[in-house]
Amino acid sequence: MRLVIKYSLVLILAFLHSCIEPFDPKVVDVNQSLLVVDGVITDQPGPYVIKITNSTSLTGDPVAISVSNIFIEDSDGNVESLTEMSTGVYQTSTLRGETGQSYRLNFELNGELCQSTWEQIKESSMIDGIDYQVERKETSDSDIDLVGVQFFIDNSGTTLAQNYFRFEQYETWETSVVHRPEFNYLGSDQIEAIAESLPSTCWKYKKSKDVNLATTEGLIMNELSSHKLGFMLGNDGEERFTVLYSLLVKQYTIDENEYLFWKNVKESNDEIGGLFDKQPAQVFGNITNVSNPRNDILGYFSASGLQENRIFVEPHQVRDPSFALTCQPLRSVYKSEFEMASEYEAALTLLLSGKSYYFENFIYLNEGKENESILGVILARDACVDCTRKGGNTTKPEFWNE
Amino acid sequence: MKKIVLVFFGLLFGVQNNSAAQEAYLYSGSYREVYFTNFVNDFESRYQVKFYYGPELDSVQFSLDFMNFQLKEVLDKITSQTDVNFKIKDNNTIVSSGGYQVNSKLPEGFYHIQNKTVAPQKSAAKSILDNIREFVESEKENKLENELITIGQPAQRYDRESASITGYIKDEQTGEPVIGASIYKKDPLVGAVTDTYGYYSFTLPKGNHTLFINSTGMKPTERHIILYSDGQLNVEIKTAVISLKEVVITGEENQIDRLQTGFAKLDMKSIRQIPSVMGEADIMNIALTLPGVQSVGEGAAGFNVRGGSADQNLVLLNGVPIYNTNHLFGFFSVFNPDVISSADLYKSGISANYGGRIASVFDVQLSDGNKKKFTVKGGISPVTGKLTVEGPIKKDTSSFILGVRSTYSDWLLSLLENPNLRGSTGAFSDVVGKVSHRIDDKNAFTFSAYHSRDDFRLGPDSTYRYFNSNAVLQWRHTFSSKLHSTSSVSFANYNYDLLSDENPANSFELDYSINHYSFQSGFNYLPKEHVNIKFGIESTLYQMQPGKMDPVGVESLIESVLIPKEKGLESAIYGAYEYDVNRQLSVSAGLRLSMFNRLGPGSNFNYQTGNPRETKFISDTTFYANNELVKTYVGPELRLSGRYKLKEDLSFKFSYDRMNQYIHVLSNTTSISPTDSWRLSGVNIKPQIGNQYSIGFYKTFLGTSLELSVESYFKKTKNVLEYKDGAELLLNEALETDILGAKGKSYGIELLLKKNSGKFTGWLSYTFSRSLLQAKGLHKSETINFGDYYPSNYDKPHSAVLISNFKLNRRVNISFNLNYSTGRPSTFPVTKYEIKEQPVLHYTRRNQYRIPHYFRMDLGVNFEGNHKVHKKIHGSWSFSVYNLTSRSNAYSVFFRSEEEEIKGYKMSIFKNAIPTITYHFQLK
Repeated sequence: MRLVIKYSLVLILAFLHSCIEPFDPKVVDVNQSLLVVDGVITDQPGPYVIKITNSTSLTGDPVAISVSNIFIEDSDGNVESLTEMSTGVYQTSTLRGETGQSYRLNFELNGELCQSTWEQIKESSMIDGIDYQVERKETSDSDIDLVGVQFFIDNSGTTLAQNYFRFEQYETWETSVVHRPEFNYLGSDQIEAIAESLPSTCWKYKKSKDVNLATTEGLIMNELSSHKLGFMLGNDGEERFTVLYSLLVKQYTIDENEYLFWKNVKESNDEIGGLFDKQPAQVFGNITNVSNPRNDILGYFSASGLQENRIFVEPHQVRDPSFALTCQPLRSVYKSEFEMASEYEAALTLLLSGKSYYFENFIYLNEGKENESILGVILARDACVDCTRKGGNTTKPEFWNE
Repeated sequence: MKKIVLVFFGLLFGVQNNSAAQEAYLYSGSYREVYFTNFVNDFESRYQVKFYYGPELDSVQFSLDFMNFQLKEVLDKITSQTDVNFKIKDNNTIVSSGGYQVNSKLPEGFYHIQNKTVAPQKSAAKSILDNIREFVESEKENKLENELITIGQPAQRYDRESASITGYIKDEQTGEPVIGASIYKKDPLVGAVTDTYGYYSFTLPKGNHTLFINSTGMKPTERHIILYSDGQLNVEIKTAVISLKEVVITGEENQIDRLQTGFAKLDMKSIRQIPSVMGEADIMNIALTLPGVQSVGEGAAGFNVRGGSADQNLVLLNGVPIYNTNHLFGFFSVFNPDVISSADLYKSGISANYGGRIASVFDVQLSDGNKKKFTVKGGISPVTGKLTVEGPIKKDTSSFILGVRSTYSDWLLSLLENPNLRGSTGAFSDVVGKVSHRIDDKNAFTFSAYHSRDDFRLGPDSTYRYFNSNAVLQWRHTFSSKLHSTSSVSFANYNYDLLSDENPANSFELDYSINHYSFQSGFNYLPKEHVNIKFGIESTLYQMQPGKMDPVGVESLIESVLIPKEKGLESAIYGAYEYDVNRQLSVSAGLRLSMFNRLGPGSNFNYQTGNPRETKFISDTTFYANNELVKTYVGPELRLSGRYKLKEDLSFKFSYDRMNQYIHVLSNTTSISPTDSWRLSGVNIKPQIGNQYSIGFYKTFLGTSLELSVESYFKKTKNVLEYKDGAELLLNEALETDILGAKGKSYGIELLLKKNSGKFTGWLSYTFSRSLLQAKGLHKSETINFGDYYPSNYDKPHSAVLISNFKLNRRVNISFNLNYSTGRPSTFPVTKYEIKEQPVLHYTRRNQYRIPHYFRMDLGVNFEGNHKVHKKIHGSWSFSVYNLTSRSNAYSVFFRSEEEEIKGYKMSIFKNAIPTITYHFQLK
């Protein structure tokens, strides 16, 4: 009997990096421009909007184009012509979508008739509630985690055996500032009172870009339970969960074909590039050029049941240290730290001259003023004193229920 | 006592130059009706003697009593009872043979060396003895080479002109059969290659011949024979004691003479030359360095041969297909390198006894257990722990080998940057075992079994597990020296399950499984010189559970889904005739008649004619009872090969292969994914058919040390599975609505220049190849790229590989490898639009762009410990750098819209150079 033990002591001297990096593959810009239709009719009051554009190169912006003779007909033979509000944007006037009714979009382009398939408005499932919890996700940098709030939706069934859904999510949140300066420091101990206080309360808006789909196909009950909506970041500097946050969820109850359309869009746009991801595919919607079927048309004319639900999230409901307001005073200089005023001035000058070393914009504010004399200054980034500098809007939304 | 004898022998050996030594010792013993083997075992254990004999003596039986006999007297007594002859050599080595006399004479120089190296000092007696033994071993080989061996009965020498010669070629050290060894005579070249039992058989003209025996990793040897009539010659060959293994592949010892095109033999012994990422040697990585073999990307599962998809390769382990060949996403293959002896890759010239896949055969052979002694081998690498046990069950008759491997790769995944992979866990293990038993000269059995398990969790929500199992019992029977057969029964199973439990309301488990029951029987008949006939039958029953989804937990709302089971029977009958017309020309013609019966129970949808095959056009459903015939496909598969030798060192070959494939992997991901599954042909999925024409020129230079081959092929395939845009393959009851039967066309030219010997070895290959597909249906939805030919996912026109190995000295060895290929095709968007304020990319023609070129440079240096054979610890250092230039080779290129802007991205598996230091050591 012979015993042979082989050992291999291996030292891998580098981390195994798998990585995703920006890359410009130099796509030949064929600039194949195709007609795109984007429109929806729902069971909620209109007006309903149809947008007609031409697709562009990968770096371009969509080009709105006008078509002629555009109308929506229903299966009872009613027809409503649409009005062009601006180039390529058409709107209905009196039409009101009804559950169970089928609609079809028609228009002409260069004398060619383009038509959608008949689309029936599905009965909406009722939204039972939206729930949320704080979640943490790893990133490729092991020191940084993404922390945010994951939202979930529950709904309950309709008379149909199964339903398909597309969700749109609209975020609104209030932000604030850390510092409220009263004076602007002008140098050489000169101060100026800030006449109109800087905006300290703002609202930010964002529409979630993710295509969010769900189906009850394959479930024993025609209802969604804890279906994942968006994961809204709390530590990306957008300060979502610092004052008050609101999420509006629009639930479109769609049919199987539209669901497959969106699923393919999602698979070819969001879920690609991974080890086991499907290869991208070409996706067509429900609109054809009847006169010349070889001219492909992109986009979708959708008829869907719409339900909306808005919830508010207060900071104490989603507590996480990383959600705090991000502004910290950059630096403070106090006179009392210096024996002579000239030294203080010199230090201040030095600090200001080196501002590019810190941040580009400063707003100076005094603090601890005593008998109108300045004890020192605290320096803060502009975003810490003016919420509009962080991309906020000072108009309070109508629905805001503070 | 024994020790004293040893010392005693050592001393005598050292000082005495005549053969009087054995006279100084007297032997006693008593044996009743013992087999020769048992006698030898006992005798060797009691006395310091060593017998060398062929397996034909195993069953010789005799009785013997002796008291204080001299060795010669003992042996004479055995000879008197049996027809076994003995020769005593070097005092304690006895060479025995049945039926014929062995002539032996000590070679010149023997005493000289002996005198020089051996000093009669008592303290050094042991090592002197060792030295002598080593010397004797090497001399024994020389002597066997110089002897004239008589085969057959001299009385029959005038009966016929030729006689057949059969036998086994074994590893002298372990007694294991040497697979794929060639034994041949030159001018004209006649010979054979050993099969999985080390068995060979061929016919020669009677008379004197010199037979050359060689095999990869073994020391070449030769035998002089005089052939009187049909007989046997067993040869034991030695491992070439080269601490650093040389060239990894050998097409055959002589590419010029082999009949087939497109063949390569991969040798597991020499795998270390190709630096691996994680210190784990892998046979599939070696296959990927061969011309015509490619993969879609680094770490991608599966490989592509000559423009074929990954499921078109028949991957066999001991003759049984392995349905999932990957561990850990595809970074490793399922083959434990410690228990594999070799692998044969057939890209063309595929013999009629193989069938069922249309691109290639990758036949992996397990090692046989050591028939002489027990060995335990262990291995620890950064990713795996391994243990291999082997040894005789009954010495020289039966043996076993058992290899266990398990991983602890979780730490490795934690190093990965990709957060999805970093948060993942992955583990695999496999067990493989083989028992070989030779009943007698005519019958031998092997039983082997394999089981592997993979377990991984990708991201937070899904746990995948998959299992490969198989078992095979093989029986080899020799009817006569001209006819032998191999029959086997086998079982294989592959199954996976996927557990998704992130959201209790949607938790489910998905199961897939395939069972394979097979019977095979193959015959090899050599009626006369230059003719070899193969024929046989095989039949395989497949039972498949294509998909079953069940809810998990009480909260789950998931509805159970069960895709109906599939059953099919694949059978084949084949015959092949190989004939050496003359010195120049050899031809082989084979016909394989394969048949596939899709059996009930089951149902299939019928579609309205004239409409696209979509669920809305299902006209009705046909139901079938259990075992009712659903559909039968019959396919005659012709296989032709020819070789013409223009010169002794230049030959031309041709082959034609037609292959049918009745079982397919459905996959519309770039790399084979864990949930891809095998499905059977049926009414709506036709068998894949491949036709390949291949020609090649083969030339050797400087003896055989430099080989050049140029091979070219053209292949047409039919009913290759392609997928509609957005195909859903999992749990799809009407699968055929998402599948297209495409036509394939691939062609290429493969150049390989290989240097086999000397300080500098390695190979340089360049391949130009194309792999194109065409899907042209009657309807738009069944047409891809307007019905034009388009590149397949693995179409990489240019590919070049340099594998080089420079032996600086006996202890230092440097390897340097280069790997280049054109980037694989990819589909890029052509235009962008917005819908619901969401930017969307529109893709049109498939695979019209390519990801960047692949280029990798590896460097490895091996330092060996010193070469004292009997050192207790043998250590070696390897330094290697994988991807020396730190190039981040693209695995995929894709586009995403981010914040109103479309951005291109490139994903690479490795973006750095990966230096690795490995210390291997062995304790003996």
